[in-house]
Amino acid sequence: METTGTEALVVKDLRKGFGPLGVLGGISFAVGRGELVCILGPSGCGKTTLLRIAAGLIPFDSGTVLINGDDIRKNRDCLKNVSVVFQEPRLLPWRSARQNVYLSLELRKDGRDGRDLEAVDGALALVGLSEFSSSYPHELSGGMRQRVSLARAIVTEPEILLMDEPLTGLDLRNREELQDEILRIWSQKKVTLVLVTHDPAEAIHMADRIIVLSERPAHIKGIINVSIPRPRPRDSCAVREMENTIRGLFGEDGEHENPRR
Amino acid sequence: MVKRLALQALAIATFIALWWVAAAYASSQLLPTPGQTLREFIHILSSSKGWESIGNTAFRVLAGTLIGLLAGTLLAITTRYSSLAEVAVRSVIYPLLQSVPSICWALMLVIWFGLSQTAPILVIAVAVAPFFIINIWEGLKELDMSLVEMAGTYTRSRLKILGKVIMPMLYSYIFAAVKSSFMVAWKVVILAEVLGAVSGIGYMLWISYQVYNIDRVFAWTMISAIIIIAFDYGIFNYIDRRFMRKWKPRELKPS
Repeated sequence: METTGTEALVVKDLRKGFGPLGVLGGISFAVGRGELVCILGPSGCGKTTLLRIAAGLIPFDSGTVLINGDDIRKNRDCLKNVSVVFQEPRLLPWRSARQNVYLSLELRKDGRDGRDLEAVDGALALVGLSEFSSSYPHELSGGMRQRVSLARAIVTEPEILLMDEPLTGLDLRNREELQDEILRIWSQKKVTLVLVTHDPAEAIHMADRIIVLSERPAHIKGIINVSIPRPRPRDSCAVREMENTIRGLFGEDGEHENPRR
Repeated sequence: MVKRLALQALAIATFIALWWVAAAYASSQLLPTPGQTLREFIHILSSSKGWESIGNTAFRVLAGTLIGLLAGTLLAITTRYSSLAEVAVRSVIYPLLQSVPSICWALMLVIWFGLSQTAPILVIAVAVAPFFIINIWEGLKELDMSLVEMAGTYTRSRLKILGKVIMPMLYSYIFAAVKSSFMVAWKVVILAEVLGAVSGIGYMLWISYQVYNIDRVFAWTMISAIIIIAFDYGIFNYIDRRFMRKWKPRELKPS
């Protein structure tokens, strides 16, 4: 693959197995700065593994992962530009929303900065939770908890935001609301966003490009440019056509789950 | 609630009545009456020497428990980070602390440190450290690793993760260990004071026994029991309700 060195994230011939089980069978793609890329694939295909590798959370067998041109195996400091939003919010139950958002700054920075708390409040406002800053996780709904975790990820001003099925646990209304909210934050913060999902509708609604993965061991089935202008309608001919294209990539056996239908 | 309190009062009254009856039949050289004990009890509490002894013992309990807490916590946590420490603690230190009777530790420590403040304090520390080790191991086993992993995406400093994420998850386990070790500490310290101290409740018990003042032996026994009960029911329950709730894992609302 041609890379010009300006890409935020480059993955080259990435392979990973757990024991005899092949999970990633040679994956290559690049994500440009400020781009929103969705990685779409059936459950258990290894897309989460792919994201976790890019986040530096698990080792891989062969290949290269570059963040801003730096190899994450050689220079782990480049991961400082990356924040991760997990499928579950992973909030500390003994901390309020505000303190939970503050955690990432506390962990990432060496010293205290008077403006840190301002940044925390700004991040909470950005996800629409200013009024709930002193609430504890058990007092918040699932969608709100995921918003707190989103605020925690963006308060460190990452260049790259990696999201691992962040909306899977939520109901449809919450999911669509948060999709638009993530889009708004993405365009406002001008971050590079890589979002893993198994929901084609979600990918079509959000992505500049969709990387479609196959069943395990995952390889890239296709990369689809989504050129529908934003804000995108939830249900239009263009969207339906694209869904059919994606379904076509998986064959018509209906193996692929689609929670929107 | 009222019924419960009434039953409790009745149980205590029955106990005192039985004690009274038994004392009436037994020689006062063997069993003093509740009245005699109470008189001696008031006598002790109205003397400065009495309070000094209680204070001495309480200080040892506190110091010993604190040392046991720090040592036990440190030992248990190092096993998470070093396999050498894991082997050392699991197969030598913990079994040793756990299996050697407190009276043996007390004798040894008195031999090493003489009649001093050090011996009773260290006897307590040695006796309670295993509570902290075992409770923290339990806590580490139950640790929510997804939170640790999340923290790992923001820092590579294990110390920061330990301080901000892991330790708070262990607080309720440490508190449980404080609770169960407190009673042991209180029992052990009196034993240690009988053997190797020149002050404190244990020493006063020893003196009372030496002069065969059975009323006083009973009064000191009562004081020890009251202190333990007060801590367990009053102070620990209060701390538990007031401060520890926050650190306990909680069920989240369904999404």
